[in-house]
This record gives sequence, structure tokens and C-alpha cells, in this order.
Amino acid sequence: MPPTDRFRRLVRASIIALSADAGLILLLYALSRVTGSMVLFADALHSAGDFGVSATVLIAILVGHRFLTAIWGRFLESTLSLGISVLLAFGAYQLLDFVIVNPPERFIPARDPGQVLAFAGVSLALVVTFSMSRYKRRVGRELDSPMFEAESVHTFADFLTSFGVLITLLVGYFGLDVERWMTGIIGLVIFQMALDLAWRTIRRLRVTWPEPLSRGGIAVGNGLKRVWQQLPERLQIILQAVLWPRWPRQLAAGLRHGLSRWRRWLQKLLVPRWLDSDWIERRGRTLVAGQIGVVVALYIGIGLYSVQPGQRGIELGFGRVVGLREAGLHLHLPPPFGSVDLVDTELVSRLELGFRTDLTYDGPEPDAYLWELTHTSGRYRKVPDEALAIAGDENLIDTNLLCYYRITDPVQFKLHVDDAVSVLRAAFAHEVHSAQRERSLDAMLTDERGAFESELLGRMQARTEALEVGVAITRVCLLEAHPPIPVVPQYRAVVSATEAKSEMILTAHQFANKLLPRSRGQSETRIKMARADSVTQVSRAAAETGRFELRQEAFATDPGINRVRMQWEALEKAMAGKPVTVLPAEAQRRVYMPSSEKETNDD
Amino acid sequence: MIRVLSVASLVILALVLTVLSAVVSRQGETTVVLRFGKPVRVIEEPGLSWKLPTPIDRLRRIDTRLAIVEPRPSEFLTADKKNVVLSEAVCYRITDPLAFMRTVKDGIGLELRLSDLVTSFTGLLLGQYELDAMVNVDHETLAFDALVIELRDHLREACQEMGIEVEQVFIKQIMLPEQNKTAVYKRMRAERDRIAQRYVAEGEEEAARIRAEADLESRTLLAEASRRADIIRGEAEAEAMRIYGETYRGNLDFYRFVRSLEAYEKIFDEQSSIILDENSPLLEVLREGAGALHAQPETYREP
Repeated sequence: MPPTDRFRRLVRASIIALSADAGLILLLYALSRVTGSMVLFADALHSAGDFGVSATVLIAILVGHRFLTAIWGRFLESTLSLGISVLLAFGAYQLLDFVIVNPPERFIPARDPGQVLAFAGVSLALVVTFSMSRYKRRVGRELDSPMFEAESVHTFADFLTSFGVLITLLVGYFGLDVERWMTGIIGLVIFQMALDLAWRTIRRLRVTWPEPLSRGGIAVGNGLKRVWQQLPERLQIILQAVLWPRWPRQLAAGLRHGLSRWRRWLQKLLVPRWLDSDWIERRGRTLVAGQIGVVVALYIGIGLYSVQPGQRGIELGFGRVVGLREAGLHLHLPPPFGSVDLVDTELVSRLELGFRTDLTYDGPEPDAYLWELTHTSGRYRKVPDEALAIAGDENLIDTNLLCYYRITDPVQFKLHVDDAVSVLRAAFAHEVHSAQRERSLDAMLTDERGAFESELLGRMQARTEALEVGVAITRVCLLEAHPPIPVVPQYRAVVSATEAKSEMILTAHQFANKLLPRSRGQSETRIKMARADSVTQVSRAAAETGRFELRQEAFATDPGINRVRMQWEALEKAMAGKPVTVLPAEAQRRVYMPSSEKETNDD
Repeated sequence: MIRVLSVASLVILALVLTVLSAVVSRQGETTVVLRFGKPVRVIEEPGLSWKLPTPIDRLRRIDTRLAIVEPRPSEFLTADKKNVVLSEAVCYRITDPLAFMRTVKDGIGLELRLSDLVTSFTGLLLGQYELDAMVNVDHETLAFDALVIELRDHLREACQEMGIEVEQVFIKQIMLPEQNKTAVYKRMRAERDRIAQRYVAEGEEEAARIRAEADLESRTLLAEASRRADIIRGEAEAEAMRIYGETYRGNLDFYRFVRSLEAYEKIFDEQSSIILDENSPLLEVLREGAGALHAQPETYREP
């Protein structure tokens, strides 16, 4: 079949569409890499899908021209445009699913050249998609190609998608994150377009339905009708109820009605009446100028920055320090000509040696930080290589230290040293461990701690001054010093032993304290008793002698009488109440007594 | 339309040429302009300068700020044959970018060379120093600072030809190999055990001493008390004897009489039985009336 003018124009239009799609893919992919935005990457993927559709359209045109008549060719185009609408609906479904089921990765708004570049790139994509949409619509109408009209609708959907991306980037530039909402709206717009396209294609198919297909359908219908008539009446009723029930037809009619209302409602909701390609085309120049203006404004706006209280901003212009800015809003030259480094100059930073603190830790912490747990659990992480060191007496010691510093010269800190914190940490480790190697373990654990800290402070201040890193050391803290963990039980055993020693000594003192007062009491008692005895004895002697003298005086008055009286009285007293045995004379004083254990008392 | 397009293209061309020819040199870096790879200019001052557009002149930016390299820790042997593991850090800055580009090329090459040199010099120097020179409570014996300065000077000299100035060398850590660490732990444990045992023994000793002292004091007190009591008693006895003696000395007969009567009273206690001969003068009174009153009573006792 010789190539007609229609065929040639269709092929040319297809190739132009393919090139535009390829250009858009490259542009959007590059922009997504520059900004790291997922929305842009999704847009690039969408354009890749468009490229596939355009390629299919081109193949369909070639196949139709080579093998089919005009009627069948149009039928194929209509079928393809129906396919495109299904693809669009599927894409919309995926976008909506993405928004509803998985929240998309947050687009982090950053005010940098990348974002301005992305903004400019998306603006370019808008111009390209809009022009392509207009071009395809014109080709479709002029050549009566439903496939191209469908393509034009599809490309306008791309235009709207890119417009959504543009709005997202613009709003993100000012710190608002609307990526999720915008992705949802784009999904709904694409869904509406798919519905619209399907609707129009189905209506067109009813007009351009190929004759042979109708004839074939009628023939098949007649054949089936003849077979039907051969069947018994009862079977006909049953089969009609099973194969041709009324409800699917009613359902289909309802669906059609609902779909058309849904489509119109969505269109009213999402695409304003004025936002059509004609309206945009009429204001094309203004819009493009506006876009360029916005891009330039955004580019200059990158230079806006604010310095917080307690910070200093080192402003660089053409690589040279042009000033140190105080707190407030400032503007530097836009990149790549200018930049700013913000430095916290009031903040007292801490440099940790032997451990690191996880400031974001939110888990459980131990009841008390014992030696075994200190800086190993909870929010702390041990760095054994830094913590363990040799002491001067060749014992090992485990220490955790902190060095507090403040940035005093931001320019030195940022522009004279590559990584000031690493330099400080290395210097701190050097000084700490060398000072530890000059002290014994016991001294480090007990009385040398204060001297150690002040010596370190002096050494670190001298170091930082010599290295010109722009910081002032304000304090050095020895947080922990203890023997290595494997030796800790033995250290505790020594403490227990000292306790045992004290206990033994105290028990002995307890014994002594009980014994000595008791002995003192006893000795006092002995002496007092002796004194008492002495007094008694002397008194008794005095009493007895006194009585003796009195009796003697009385006795002397009549010694004879008194003697007899006293003898008899004594005899009475001695014999009163005692058994008396009188022996006959013949007994000759021989008497045998049973036994006697009586003692004599000479007192 | 054509005029607009040509002006636009000229503007774009000028912009592109400007971008390709401008050199923005940042503070803290030195920029080397390379013409077809050959260094033609070194820009040390920060600011804006110009070069031929990019394919002709290219730029190489060298960071001249103070930087740090921290090689992996290595094991060395000291002069007294002790194994130690050293962690070091070298602070340096690139002072001659051209020499640096010629000899070292890039950051990885620099890190590698500095690590090699540090390891080599450290091994060399540690072979001349004993461990005592680095680990010692006696400050007179310590020579750690001298070692660090010597190491820095060696490195400085070796790095000069690479265009690098070594500012400082830090020996961040001197540690023992894992195997020796275990031995040290063992020794530390034994030492602690010894101290613990000494404390217990000292406690026992002290307790025994305190008890013995208390015992001694107690006994001394009691003995002294007994001595004094005996003296007091003796004095009392002496006094009593003196009183008795003075009183009885002139009345011996009466004393003997009274005393014998008292003795009789005492001798016959409640359990005594009295056996009398029927001729006993005591019974005479019963037999003969009061005539026998002057007779002496006679009693018989057990021999």
C-alpha cells in the first residue's frame, strides 16, 4: 500500500512525541537525582510509561498501514486508545494506593541550588508537555485519529502532573510539606482523565464499528437463534434464566450511568472550567515570563539565611570571608558565588573519651551506674580502646573523661582545620594517657584525681593554643576511674577484707571494754571488803576489850561470889537442853562412844 | 525574531564562557590551574580569578587546612623487649600543593604514605627506648615527650619532599597486646588477694593484742586489789592484837577464867551429850544439898 499523506503525518507526529518523551525522561530523572525528590522520580517513571505508549502508537500506525484497511486501522486505533485509558486508570490507582497505603518518603524541603534547578526543570517540562498536548490534539483532529486525540488527553494529564510537582516544589521551598496531598490529587486527576478518555473512545467505537465485524456478529446471532429454536421450550426457559439473566444488564446500565456522573463530578472538582489548554495558550508568554521570574527570585532567595542567638555566621563571597554575622536575618551571594557556615559559639561542647553518649536513647537505664555498668549500658556506649590505659606502675586502669570546650574563633575552627573535633580528640587522648602513665593506679583512683584534672586542663589549653583550632578548653572532668572490669571483684574483696579487719578489732575492743570495767569493779570490791573486814575486826577487838574491862571491874567487887556465879551460869548454859548420862562408878570411866565429828572452836 | 534569538544565544554563550572561566578559590584551600594537565598557576589567595575556559584550563583544589590522619594501631617491641600496641595520629597541612600533586596525588595516597612512615619511625624509635621511659611514676626516668618530639622531627623531614608540613604527632594510646593484658589482670588479682589476706591477718593480730592487753590489765587490777586487801586485813589484825594485848596484859588470870568459861559455852554445842560419873562433884549438890556448891564441875569429853 503506498504511503498516504495521513500516514506520513501520523508517523512524523509519533516520532516527535517519542523524542519529547525521551527528553522529558532524561530531564526528570536528572532532576530527581539532584534534589532526591520521590515525586520527581515518580514523574520520570510516568514519562517512561508515556514513551512506551507513544512507541505502541507508532507500531500500531505502521501495522495498520501495512496490513489493514482504513476501517480496521481505525478500529485498532480505538482499541489502543481504550488500552491507554486502562493504563492511565491503573497508574492513577497505583498513585492513590501509594498515598493511602504507604505514605511516600517525606520530601525534605531544602533551600539550595538543586531545588531551584528542579523548579526550572519542571517549568521546562510543563512547557514541553503542554506544547505536545496541543500538537497531538491538532494532529488527532486534523487526521481524524482517535489514538492521537487520546494521546493528547494523556499528555495533558502529564502536564497537570508536572504542574502538581511544581506546586509541591514551590511550597516546599518555603518549608511546607504537601507532597502526599499533591500525589493524591495528581492520582485523582489522572483517574478522571482515564474515565473521560474511555468514555469518548467507547462512543466513537459505536460509530466506527467495522462492517465485517457487524456482519459476522449478525451471522453468529442468526446461527445461535436457529439452534435456540430447536431446543425444547422448558430448556429454553431454564437456559434463559441461567445464561441471560436480567440483573447483569441492569447492573451494567446502572454502572454506565454512575460512571458518567462520577466522571463529570470529578472534572468539576479537580479541573477548573477555565484551566484548559486554550486558556493557557492565550497567556503563554506571560506564564513563561512569570516562570522565569519565579526561578530567578528563588535563586536569589537561596542566599537568605538566619543566624540564631548563640551562633555566628561566617559569610563567604567568592570564597573569601566577607564577614562574621550576628543573630538575625542576612543575605549572602547565591551559590556558587557565596555561602555561609553557621557556628555555635556560645555552646559549651563536650568531647568524650572512653565512651560515647547516645543523645537520642530512650530505653531503660540501670538503677545505679556501678563500675561494671558505667558507660556500657543505658544511654552510654563504651569505647574500650580509649578507656583502658597503662598506669605508671604498669597496672591497667579504666577511665572515662570529658573535655568541655567553646568555639572562640569560628574562622579558625572552620577554615583552618579540616576536622577540629577529631584533632581535639586525638590531642585529648594523647594528654590523658600520657598523664596517666606518670601516676600509679592507686594514686589515680584516690588522691591524685584533682591534680590530674587540673594538669590535663593546663596541657589541653596549651595544646589548643599551639594548634590554632579556634577553641578554648573550659574544663576537664575525670568522670570515672576504676580498675579494669576483670579485676573489680578482687578490688571489692579488699574492701571486704578491710571491713573484716575492722570487725575483728572492734570485737576485741568490745571484749576489752567488757572485761576491764568488770575487773576494776572486782578489785574495788576486794579492797572495800578488806577494809570492811578490817573495821569489823578492830571494832570487835575494841568491843571485846571494853566488855572485858567492865566485867573485870564488876568481878573485882566480890571475886568469890562472882566466880561461883559465873561458873554456874556457864555450866547451866553449857549443859542446858543436852542429854546427860550418869555412869556408875564401876564403869571406871571406860566409855565407848559411837562416833563424834565435833570440831572445837578456839575463838 | 531572528535578532531576539541571536541576542539570546550570545548572552547564553557569554554566560557559559564566564562560568567555564571563573575560578572561585575558597579560604582554606589552594587552587592549581592545570593547562592540559600541566600546572601553570597556583592560586593561594581566596577570591575570584580567571582562567581559560574549561577544556583548556582545569582546576585542582587542594585543602590546605590542618588535617589529621589516624593510622590503625600497630604492635612494636621496646628496647627491653616488651610488646606494646600504639595508636597514633598525625596532624599535618599541605604547604606545597605542586609537590603534593607530584608525589602523593590524592588523599588516599597521602593517608597510606603517612601511615607507613609513622609505623616505620615508631618502630625505629621504640627500639631505642625502654618501656620505663614511657610508663613510670618517676618523672626523672620518663622520656615520653622527647620520644614524641623525635618522632615528629623524623616525620617532618621525611614529609617535606611531599609538600606536607607535619604539625604534631599524637600517641593516643600505649596498650599491651591482649595476651599480656590477661597476664596483667592475673597479677593485679594476685596482688589484691595478697592485700586482702594481709588485712584479715592484721585484723586477727590486732584483735589478739587487744584481748591480751585487756586480760593483762584485768589481772593486774585484781592482783593489786588482792595485795591491798591483804595489807588492809593484816593491819586490822595487828591493830586488833594490839588492843587485845594492851587490855589483857594486866589481867591475865581474869582473862584466863573468863575465856575458859566462854570456851566451855562454845565447846558444848547443841549436839553434845554429857556423861557424868556418879561421883561427879556436880551431882554432889543433888545428893548433898548446897554443900557441894564450891566443888568444881567435872566434865568428860571425848579424848
